[in-house]
Amino acid sequence: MGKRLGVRQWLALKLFKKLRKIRAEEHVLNTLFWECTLRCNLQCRHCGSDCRVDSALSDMPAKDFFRVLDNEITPNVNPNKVLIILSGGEVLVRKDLEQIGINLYRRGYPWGMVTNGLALTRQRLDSLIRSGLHSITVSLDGFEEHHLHIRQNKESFGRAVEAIRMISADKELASDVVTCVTPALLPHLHRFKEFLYSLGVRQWRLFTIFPVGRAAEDMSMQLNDEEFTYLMEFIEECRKEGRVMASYGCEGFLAGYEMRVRTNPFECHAGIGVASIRVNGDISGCTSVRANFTQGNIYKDNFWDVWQNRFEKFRNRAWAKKGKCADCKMWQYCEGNGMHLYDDDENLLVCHYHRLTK
Amino acid sequence: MLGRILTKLFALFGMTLTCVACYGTPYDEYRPYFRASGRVVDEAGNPIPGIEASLGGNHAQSNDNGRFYVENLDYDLLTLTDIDGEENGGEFESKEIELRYQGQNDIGVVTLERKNKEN
Repeated sequence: MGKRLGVRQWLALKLFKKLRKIRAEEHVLNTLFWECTLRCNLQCRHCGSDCRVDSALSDMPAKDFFRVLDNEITPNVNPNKVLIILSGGEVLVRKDLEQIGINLYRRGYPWGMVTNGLALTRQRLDSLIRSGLHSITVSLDGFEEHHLHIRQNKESFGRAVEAIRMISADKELASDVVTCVTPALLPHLHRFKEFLYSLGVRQWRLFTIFPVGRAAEDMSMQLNDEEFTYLMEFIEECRKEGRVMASYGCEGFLAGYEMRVRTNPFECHAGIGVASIRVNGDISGCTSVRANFTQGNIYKDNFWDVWQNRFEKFRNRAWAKKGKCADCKMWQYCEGNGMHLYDDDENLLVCHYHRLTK
Repeated sequence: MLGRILTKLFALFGMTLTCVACYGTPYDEYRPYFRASGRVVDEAGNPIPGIEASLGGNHAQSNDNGRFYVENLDYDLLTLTDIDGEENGGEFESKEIELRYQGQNDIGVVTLERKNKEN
């Protein structure tokens, strides 16, 4: 465990290495993010959404997105198997969300959204479900004191809790809760897990904050290496217990914790199965990947041409074998961590493997 | 081919390999929201094959055990209609059932009444 691989992990990672190469070659699109707005009803301390983009940037008109979807994507995919995730900003600020949803649904696309829950009333959730909402994630960053410290809005905790209660009770919705774990929350994780369980939560994704966006300068938001390792142990314990299926976000290779804190071996899906269209039309992998990895723009390029013929840096990571990674024995399984963990100069900001202390 | 074999191998160990994208939502494939299944029988409890189950423009017929399944995007009124007259055990009255919610609606056993021949 810890930094060392067990025999089963070693074998699984060896096999997965082959599969990852095939998946990169095939790059079957299964998830498309649409950053439909950068407007938000909160100003969170840790927001990495995109602080460097002008907040006055207007929402992308739905007709621009549907033009790309209808002309460039739908003819090339099975819509039933491409999850469209509306992201922001906070997507609930868009008044045409239901209209967008029903138009996706009628085209056969499952769709989902990530929300802070502040504006998710019973009435709004019902109307989104009527518009074909399939999948939803609500963020809750701890008990009230932790959540409010990060979210900076008095109503944000109560509303998020109510939103979680509603989505967890709906058996038709695929749902989970995401939590950014801060040092302040760490000692309370067991109690917080029980709290989530009492709300009906059975799937829980935990993240640590990486140094991008507003959190970059705020060290109180980031775990030290011991705390990070403790978090892995906590997640593993939760999974063994089985009441709440906790998992670590997909962002980093975790050596001996691989397949113990997540169901699947580490793989950065950006550009392999995941693409995004950002609010300004940029085409990339996940929305969190930095702007210098942008592969095209829907207002200039054909999305499908871009998806098929670009994304070289996402699919062949040889360029990332430098610095700490150059001689790392885990490179073959990790290939340089998540794409969103690179800065504008293409240097890795965080290595999860090297953070493990055991 | 190798990719498919490896994917299936991982699936055997519970790894679907379509995991949640970073900062995304749980992966989910499309499914029509109104889905209805059930079983049609006559007054004596005998299954009725060949009954048409309709949701909007989508139709399906009950099988030899009287079981049916039909789905549609956004239509919540299920109609059960005898479309073969006297075949399959006689002629039965139609029935409309409002689906209670989006998603899977298990209607259970539905008894259809025989048409009154004097009418």
